[in-house]
Amino acid sequence: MGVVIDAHLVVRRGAFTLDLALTAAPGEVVALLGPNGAGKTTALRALAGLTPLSEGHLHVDGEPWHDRPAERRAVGVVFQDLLLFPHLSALENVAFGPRCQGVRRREARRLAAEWLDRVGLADQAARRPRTLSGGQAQRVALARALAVRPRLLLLDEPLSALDAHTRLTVRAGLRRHLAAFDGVAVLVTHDALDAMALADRLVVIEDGAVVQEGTPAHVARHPRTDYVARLVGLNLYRGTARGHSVALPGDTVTFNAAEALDGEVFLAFPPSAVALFRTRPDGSPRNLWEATVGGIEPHADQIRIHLEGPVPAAADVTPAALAELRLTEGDRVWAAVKAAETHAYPA
Amino acid sequence: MPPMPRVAALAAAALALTGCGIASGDERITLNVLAASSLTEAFEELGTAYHAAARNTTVRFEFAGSQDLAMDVQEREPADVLATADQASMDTVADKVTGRRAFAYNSMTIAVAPGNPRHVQGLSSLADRRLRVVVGGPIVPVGRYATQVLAKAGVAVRPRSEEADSRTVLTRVRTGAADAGIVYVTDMRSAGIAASSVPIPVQQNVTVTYFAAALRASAHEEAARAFVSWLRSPTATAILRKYGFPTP
Amino acid sequence: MLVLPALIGLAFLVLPLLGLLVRAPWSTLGTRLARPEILDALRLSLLSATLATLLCLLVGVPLAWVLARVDFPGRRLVRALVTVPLVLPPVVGGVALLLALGRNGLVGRWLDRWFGLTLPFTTAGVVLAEAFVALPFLVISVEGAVRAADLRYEDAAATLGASRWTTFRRVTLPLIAPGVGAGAVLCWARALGEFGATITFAGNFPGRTQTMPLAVYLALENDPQAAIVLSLVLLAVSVVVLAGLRGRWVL
Repeated sequence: MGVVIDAHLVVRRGAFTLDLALTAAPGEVVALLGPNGAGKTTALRALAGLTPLSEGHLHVDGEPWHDRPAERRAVGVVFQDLLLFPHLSALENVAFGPRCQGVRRREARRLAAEWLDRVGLADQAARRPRTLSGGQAQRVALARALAVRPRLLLLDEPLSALDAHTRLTVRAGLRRHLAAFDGVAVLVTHDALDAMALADRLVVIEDGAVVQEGTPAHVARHPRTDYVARLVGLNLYRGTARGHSVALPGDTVTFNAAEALDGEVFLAFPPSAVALFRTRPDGSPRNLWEATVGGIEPHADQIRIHLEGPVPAAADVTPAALAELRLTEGDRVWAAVKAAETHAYPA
Repeated sequence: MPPMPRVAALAAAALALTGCGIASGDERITLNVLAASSLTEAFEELGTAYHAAARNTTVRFEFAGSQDLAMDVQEREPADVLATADQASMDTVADKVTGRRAFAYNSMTIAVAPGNPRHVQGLSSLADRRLRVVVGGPIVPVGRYATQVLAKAGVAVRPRSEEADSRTVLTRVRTGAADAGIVYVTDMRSAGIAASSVPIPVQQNVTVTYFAAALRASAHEEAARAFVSWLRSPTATAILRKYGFPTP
Repeated sequence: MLVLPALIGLAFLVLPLLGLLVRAPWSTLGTRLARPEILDALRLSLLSATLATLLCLLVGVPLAWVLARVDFPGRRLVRALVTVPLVLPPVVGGVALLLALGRNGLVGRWLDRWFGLTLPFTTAGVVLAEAFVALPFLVISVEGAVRAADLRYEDAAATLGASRWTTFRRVTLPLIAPGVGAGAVLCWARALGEFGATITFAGNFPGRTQTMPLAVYLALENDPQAAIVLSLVLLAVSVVVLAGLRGRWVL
C-alpha cells in the first residue's frame, strides 16, 4: 500500500529548531524517542496541526495536510494529560469526535458505546472523567481518539501518568489496539521500555534532529549516542577498528570485538559484561583497563559500579561479588570485558 | 440634572453646623436657613445683601425640596429658618415654627425647546400623544402644581417621566429628551436661551406661595425672626423680583 | 488577630440593615406591601435587571473572551475602558448615555430619525442604563474564568474535528460556566440596585421606568415609612436570590 505519511517537519521557535523527516507505512507504529526538550511533543503537535510548520510539508495518503487546521485533519490524539472533557461523561467524550464530523446524535452515541466496549469500559459509559481510575481514563482517551477513525493516531507519553502496575496492563491493551489500527501511529515517549514494547520503529530525536532510526532490536544493540546508550543500558565508545581490534582515542585501551571492521566504529557492551578485579588479572592486555570507582548504587537486583578514568563505564556486579571485592568509592580496580559481548558497528 | 440626594444635603448641613456655636451678646451669629431649591439663586444673593445690612450675621443656606426640609425640621435637625415653596409643607411643622409669613409668589409655565418648534399653544397642546411631556412626580410640589393646572384646564396628559424636581423637568426639555415640561416660571430664568416658555393663563394657573418662619428650636430665635421680617423689606423684594418672584 | 476586624467589617455591613429593620412600620407592613405601586416597581426591577443581565451575557461573554484570548493592539486600553463604568459615578454614566443615545444624542438622533426609536423614558432605556453600569462585573468575572481555563482542552477539541464555534460552545463555555454564573449574579445584583444612571437616562414613571431604587428615592421625599418598606422588599428579594444563586454558582 506504500506510504501513509511523508513528512518533513520544520518548526522554529526562538533558538530551537525542530527538523524532522518522517515516513511511515500503513499499520506501522513509530516511536519518537528522546530526552526532555528534544522536540518530540512539538513534532506531535505539528503532525496534529496544533503547531504550524515554519517550513517543510506533510502528506498523508498523498494529500497535503500542512495547510489544514487541526479540525480538518483525520487525526486522533491521546494527550499526555489525556484532556478528557471534565463536564462530559465517558460516553459523551468519545461521541464528541463523531458528532463534530456530522454524525447524528444517536448514531454517535452508539459508536461511542461500541468503542467503550472495545476498550473494556462498557459499564463506565455514564461516569465523569474525574471519577475514573487512571487506567480507565487512559482507555477512554484512546477510545475517543480512535472514534474519529483517524489515519494518524498520535500518542503523547500515553503511559507516563500511570503507576507501575497499571502501566503493564494498559501497555498490553494499547499494543493490542495499535496492532488492530490500520493507519499510522506515532508515539512520543522518553521511556525506552514503552518504545521497545509498542513500536515497530524507533526514531530518536535530540535537540530537534534525528540522531538514530531503526527497529527497536537494532537500536537497542547499536546505540549511536550517549543518550540512546544510557536508555538501552549499554556502555558506548567511538574508536578506530582494524579487523577485530578496536582502539579507543589516544590508544588508551584496545578492545577485541566480535565483529571485524575497518575505520571509525562504535563499540558497545552491557554493564553486565564487565568483570572487576582488585589486582591486575593475568593474560591478554586487551579488553582490560584500570579505573577508579566513582559511585556505587543498587540497580535492579545487581549493584551498579560507575567507573571513572580514561574509559568511563558502568559495571553490574552481584552483591556477593561486591562484598568479596570490598569496594568503596575512590578505590582503584581493573576492569575486563569478554570479547564475545563487545560489539562494534560502523559509526 | 437629577436632584441632589437628600443624604448629601444632610451631610452638608451637618458640616455647616460645626461652624456655628452658641452666640451671646453682640458676638457674630451664623443663621442656618433651610430653603426650597427653587429659591437657590435668589437666596444666595439675599444672603450677601443681608450680611451687608446686618454685619454681625452670616447666613448659610441648605437647599432641598420643601417636603425634605419640613422632614428635617420634624427630625429636629438643628436650624434657624425654614423657607418652603408651599403652604402644605409649612403646615406639617406648624407647632415648631414662629413668625411665619408669605414673602414671595411663583407660578407655573410650560417649558419648550428654543423657538417652540413643536408649536405648543398652551396646556391643551400637551394632550397630544406625539408630544413628549415631562412633569414633576405627584408627591413633589412641582408635580402637584402640574396636576392642579392640568386639572383646571381639563387636559389629560400622559407624561413620559415624573421627575423629582422642577430643575430636572427643565433639564429634560433643555437636552431635547422631552418636548415640553411644566416648571416654575422662575426656573425659566436659569435656562436662558436654552429653552423657551409658553405661558399658562392666570385662570388655569396656580399661585405658589413661599413661606418663611423662624424655628422655635433655634438658638438665635431673635436673629432668625429678624431675617424672616427682612425678607419683606424693599431690598429683599427687589432681589426676589429680579429673579422673577412676584412679592406681596 | 483577624477576628476583631472581621467582626467590625460584619457590623459595618449589618448595622445599616438593622436600622432599616428597626424603623420598619411592621404594623402597617401588610397593607403597604399590597399597594400596586410597590408591586409594579418590584416587577419592573426584576424584569429589567434580568433583561440587563441577559444583554450583558450576550455581549459581555464574547467581549471577555476576546480580551482574554485575542492579542490585539490597544487591548490594555480596551480593558481599561470596560472597567470605566465601575469608577464612573452612575449619574455621569446616565448623562453619557443621554449624550450618546438620547433623542439628540450621537447615535440616538439617527435611531429616532430612521426607526422612530427613542430610548429615554422607556423600559428599554432602563435595561440599557442598568446594563451599562453592570457590564464590567460580568466581563471582569468571565475574563478571569477564560484566562484560568486550560487552553489544551480547546486543542483536544480541535483534534476531534470541532470548529472554533463548536469548541467555544461545547468545551470553553462549559469550562468557564462557574465564572459566567458568578459574573451574571454580580451583574444582576448591580442592575437591581441601579439608580443614578437609570433616573438620569430613563427618567421616572411608575410601571415603565420607575424601578425599586427610584421608588425608594422618591418616597424618601415625602413618605420615609414607604421608603423603608420599599427598601425592605428590595433587600429581601436580593438576599433570597443572591443566597440561592451564590450557593449554586460561586461556592
